[in-house]
Amino acid sequence: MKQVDMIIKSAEGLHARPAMKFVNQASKFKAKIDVIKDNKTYSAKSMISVLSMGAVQGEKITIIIDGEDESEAMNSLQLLLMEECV
Amino acid sequence: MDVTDVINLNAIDLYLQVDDKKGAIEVLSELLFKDGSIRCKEEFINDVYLREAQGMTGIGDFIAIPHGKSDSVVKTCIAVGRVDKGIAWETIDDKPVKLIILFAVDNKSKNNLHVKLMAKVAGALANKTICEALLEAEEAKDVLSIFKQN
Amino acid sequence: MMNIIGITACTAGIAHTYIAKEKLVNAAKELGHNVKIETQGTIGTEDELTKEDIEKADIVIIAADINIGGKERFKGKKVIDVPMQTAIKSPKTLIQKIEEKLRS
Repeated sequence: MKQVDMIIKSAEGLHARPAMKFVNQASKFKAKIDVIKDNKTYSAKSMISVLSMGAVQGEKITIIIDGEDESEAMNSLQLLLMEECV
Repeated sequence: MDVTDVINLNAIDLYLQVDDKKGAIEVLSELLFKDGSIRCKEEFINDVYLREAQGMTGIGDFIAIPHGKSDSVVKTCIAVGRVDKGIAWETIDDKPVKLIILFAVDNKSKNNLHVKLMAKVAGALANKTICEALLEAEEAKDVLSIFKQN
Repeated sequence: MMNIIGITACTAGIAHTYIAKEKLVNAAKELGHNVKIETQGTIGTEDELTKEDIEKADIVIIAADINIGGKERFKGKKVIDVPMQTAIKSPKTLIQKIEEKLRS
């Protein structure tokens, strides 16, 4: 299992475009991928779940990945978020 | 059953070539008619305008939710249209409308399940990020992915 | 922190009712309050307010464009009646105004 905390730096927060990219990317992996914010768990492979999360600038999100391709998934998703809004 | 079961894939056009509200409602109703979801286009459009007269369907942030509760609806479902340049509409924030979510509801049906799913779609539209995502979606199937619950 | 309850009901009972509910719930939660909103729509009543909900409530928000059912339940409670549009357009401002009023 892999876990990482990230702080949203972009002024627009995790808005629609990066959120959708994130979900599309997460859906490519076999591992179970969750995002935790304010003690609530969101399924990273569900568009509606991630879109309704509403992460704004300064907020912390925790990504938890568990499965056979967890390393690949973590690297890919971390990179994506860092490019977009972290 | 998932929320996406009530969104009509055949009635999604994210690149509407219309200039106004009338055009948008007309084109989306035509898609519903071609798909067999509504029986008579004129009657359905009439019922949509009946609801328009009762109050604003422009809920702000470029979204409008016109709806027709009609005897002409065969299959309760939702059509989605987008006009990126924005069209005039009665809205609560005076902004134009870019995304039209047209709800078609069968007047007689006891099939509450479909209307319940519609209520879930409506509830989702209260979320700004979901609305943004719909404004950015590239294809019809992206619209379904945005709402998919299971 | 307030205990807010309310009812949303629009003319067709298909869409606005549920959008208004979500907007009120999100705004109330963002401002740190407890909230429960009953909807009265085409599919009937959902999230019906219980006696306990009403007893504990500090304020009742009715955001409706039609006459709602069961208004008698709120006898003796502070009720604020607004058009549905207000709940959709400015739910946060509405709740902040209520906060002010209840404080004074």
